[in-house]
Amino acid sequence: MIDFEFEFQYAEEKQPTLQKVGGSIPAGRCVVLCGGSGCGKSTLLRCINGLIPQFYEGELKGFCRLNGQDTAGIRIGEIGELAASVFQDPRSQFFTVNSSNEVAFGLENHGLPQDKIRRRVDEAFRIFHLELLKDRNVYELSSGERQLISILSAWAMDTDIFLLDEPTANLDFAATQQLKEILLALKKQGKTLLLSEHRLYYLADIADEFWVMADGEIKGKYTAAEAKAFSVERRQTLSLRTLDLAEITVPEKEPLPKTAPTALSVSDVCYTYGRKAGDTLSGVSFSVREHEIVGLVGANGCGKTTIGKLIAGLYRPSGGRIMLFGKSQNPKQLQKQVLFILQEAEFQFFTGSVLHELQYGHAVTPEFEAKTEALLKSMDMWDCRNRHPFSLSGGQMQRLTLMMAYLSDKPIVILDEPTAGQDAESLERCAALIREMRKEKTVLIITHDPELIAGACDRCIGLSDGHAEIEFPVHSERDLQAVRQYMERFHLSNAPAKKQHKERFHPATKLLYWLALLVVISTSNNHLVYAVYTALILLTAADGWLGTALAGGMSFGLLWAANALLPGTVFSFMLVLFPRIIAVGISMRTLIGRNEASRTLAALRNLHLPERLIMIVAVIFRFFPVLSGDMKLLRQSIRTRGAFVTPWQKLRALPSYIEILTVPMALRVIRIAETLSASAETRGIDLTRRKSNYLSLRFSAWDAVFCVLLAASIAAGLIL
Amino acid sequence: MSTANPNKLKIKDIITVVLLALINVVIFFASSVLYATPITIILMPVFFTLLEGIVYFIIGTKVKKPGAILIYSIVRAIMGGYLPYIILFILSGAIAELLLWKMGYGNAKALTVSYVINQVLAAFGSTIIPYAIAAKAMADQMVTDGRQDAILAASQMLQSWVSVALVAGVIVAAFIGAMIGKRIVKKHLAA
Repeated sequence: MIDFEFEFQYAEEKQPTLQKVGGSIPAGRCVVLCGGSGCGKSTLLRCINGLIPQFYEGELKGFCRLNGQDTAGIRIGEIGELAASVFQDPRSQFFTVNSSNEVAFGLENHGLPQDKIRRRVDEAFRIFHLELLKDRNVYELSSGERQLISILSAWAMDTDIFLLDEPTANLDFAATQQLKEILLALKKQGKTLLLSEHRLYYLADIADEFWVMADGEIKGKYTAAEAKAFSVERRQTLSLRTLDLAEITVPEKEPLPKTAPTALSVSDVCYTYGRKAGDTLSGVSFSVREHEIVGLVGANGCGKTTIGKLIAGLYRPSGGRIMLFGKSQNPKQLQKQVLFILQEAEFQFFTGSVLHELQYGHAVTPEFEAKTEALLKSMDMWDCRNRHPFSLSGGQMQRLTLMMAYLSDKPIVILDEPTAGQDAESLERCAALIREMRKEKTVLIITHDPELIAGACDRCIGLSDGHAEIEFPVHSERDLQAVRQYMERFHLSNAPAKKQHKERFHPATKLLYWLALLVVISTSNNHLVYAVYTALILLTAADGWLGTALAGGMSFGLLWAANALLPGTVFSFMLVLFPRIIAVGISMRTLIGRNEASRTLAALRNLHLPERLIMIVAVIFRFFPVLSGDMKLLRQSIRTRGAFVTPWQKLRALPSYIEILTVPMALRVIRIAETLSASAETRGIDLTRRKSNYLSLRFSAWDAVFCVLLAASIAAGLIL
Repeated sequence: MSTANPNKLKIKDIITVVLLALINVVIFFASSVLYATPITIILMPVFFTLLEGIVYFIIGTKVKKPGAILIYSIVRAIMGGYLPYIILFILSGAIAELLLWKMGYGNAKALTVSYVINQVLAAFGSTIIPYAIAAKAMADQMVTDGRQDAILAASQMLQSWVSVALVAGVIVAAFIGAMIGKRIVKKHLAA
């Protein structure tokens, strides 16, 4: 049961965000907070889960009782024992690399015994029939799957109350369906659910009440039956999205001229992304006519974004042909003519204000200024024109990228999930702007949003099993129903989990090797370095990193051979220096590769190192690979916006180039840090009680053998 | 119920600093192609010094609390994976903390001076010391190989003027890097 009454003003704001909001939710009920963006939904949830005022600072008045217990003065982590929280961005709320460890994270922080943690984690995956997601690397999961893991993490905390902040903001159609089933199961278990949400259709059978917020107040509380009976006009007034997908209407759209020539033609395009079979495209073919708006739909991982990036010249196809306006194009030519708007909006901002972002790369004539002003006003962003793009909400960022696309000189625009997390009014504005774009451009939209498809698309192409399998016109409600039925067939990936690697060594052994290397490579004793290098290569091979061990061994062999065949200063120097560098890289890989990061952290905890230090190491392990991936996205964004194409351009404007390479990353990281720490705090990371380990680690004979080998190699290196 | 504002690092501050530090680590690793030849290694400290000021100043301005720059230094140090580098980088972090404590957290002058010290010590840890050790190791190896004549070439690689020029280059680059950092902070984080 939840009882609350709040007034709240953020420290940096001049106006209160919440003005005397109050309510009572009986146990076992589900209430949905809805209303336009910025109405105070998330703030209300933060007041309940204790993030306000302990994490987000400001002036809070009022009270909150969870199951009768007053939360005033209780730490965030302790409130987390009464109410579990799920946040909207599954990409940045995980603290560990492994899905099972993530589910166990909160339980470890609360110091539960290991066997109890293991039972609870197993139960979480079993009850919700998500065993396939167990012990998976979270980087390999889709957004939907990650969000399911975050719900399991919340469930594992064994609370009666769940607080979910826009849980479907980044989910596709299939994942939303799965989330619905989980919420139904939670309700059956008697849990109390409080959600803030824009997308309402999936909650129609779950919610008991819809509380509509506006301007920091709860303007109305409606039963599910009352909300379902809202007319379209009433919903629009309240800025609510549809509660029934069957009610979506398809507006009349200006038909394309029958003679409209083909703008984009994709023929038998193939692409293999890494080694993941799910991301492979095998002979995709379709065409889009000039000034047509085409929706690209398909199950998660079917390659929608990949084909979009191939068309934009950001990837090079391994086969097939992409033609624009009848001419075959290479990736460089495609980049000049196609703009790709990434789903991750924040990677696409290079300047310090909304207005400058829209002007970037354009000659700012009086006509352009007038056009920009009209555009900002039509998208309800005029008041934000001088704000930094990174100070905008997620929905506002999406709208800004859409405006950038509208103003672009490129004739073809690809939009990747442009309406994630938009309220009803914003969605309508986005659809209208895309329709407006059609006058000068050809648009391809990667989406799973039926409301956007209805409002903007002329046609839809379904992508499945690596090829375009079906096409739908979108002229009537009947057409839309066909698209919806097609989308309902999508399901979450059933790809079997990768074969689990059997860990042979205790992470402490590998830490010992790492420490030994740190000392050894700092000496000038080559024999010592080579001896420890050899021991490390053997340990790497014995641990199952055969490729890495082979590469390490071969590198050393090549350096040795080069020095023997071409004796000289350069190769001698390389033979001395490079093994020292390579050894550190290999050693780090054995410590954090695969699932080793979690095990290494468990070993550090067993060593009773300070929890703050372990947290720092955990963040390093978790985010180092993520940030490398983010850097790739940033480079794609720079390329597709046509900035700094040639090396000369980069050199000529080096400070600006450095700025756009670094600043968006830094600002994004600041946002990630906020979400990650909020998520971790609600799961008790800041509690001072003794923490426990989910993973059990044991020394084996292998550890003994390789410790002896290390000692022997050091002795041999010193003697020789 | 009003929020206290203790001058103590919170979980959010620590995570912010660690993640920002990782950006510089990513830049470091992404540019590790410069390690490909003995000559380009010499240029690495100058190159990184130009780039890393942005993140350094963002941390110094965003998290104006004791310990932030030290944590940054620890993360950068550990990810370097080389003992002299680790020691010198952490030492530079401690010096920076001292300067900031004296001159004020977020103080631009303190950040500039500490950034210069940070980069000079990092250059010693990442290039000058490994070069010296490598040159010594190479000389030892050449003696073993019977190529005494090449020892001179090896020692020439670390002639004092190279080290002096490198340190001078790093200091100049650190001032430029600090200026870039200050400008970026003013533009993007002024609010």
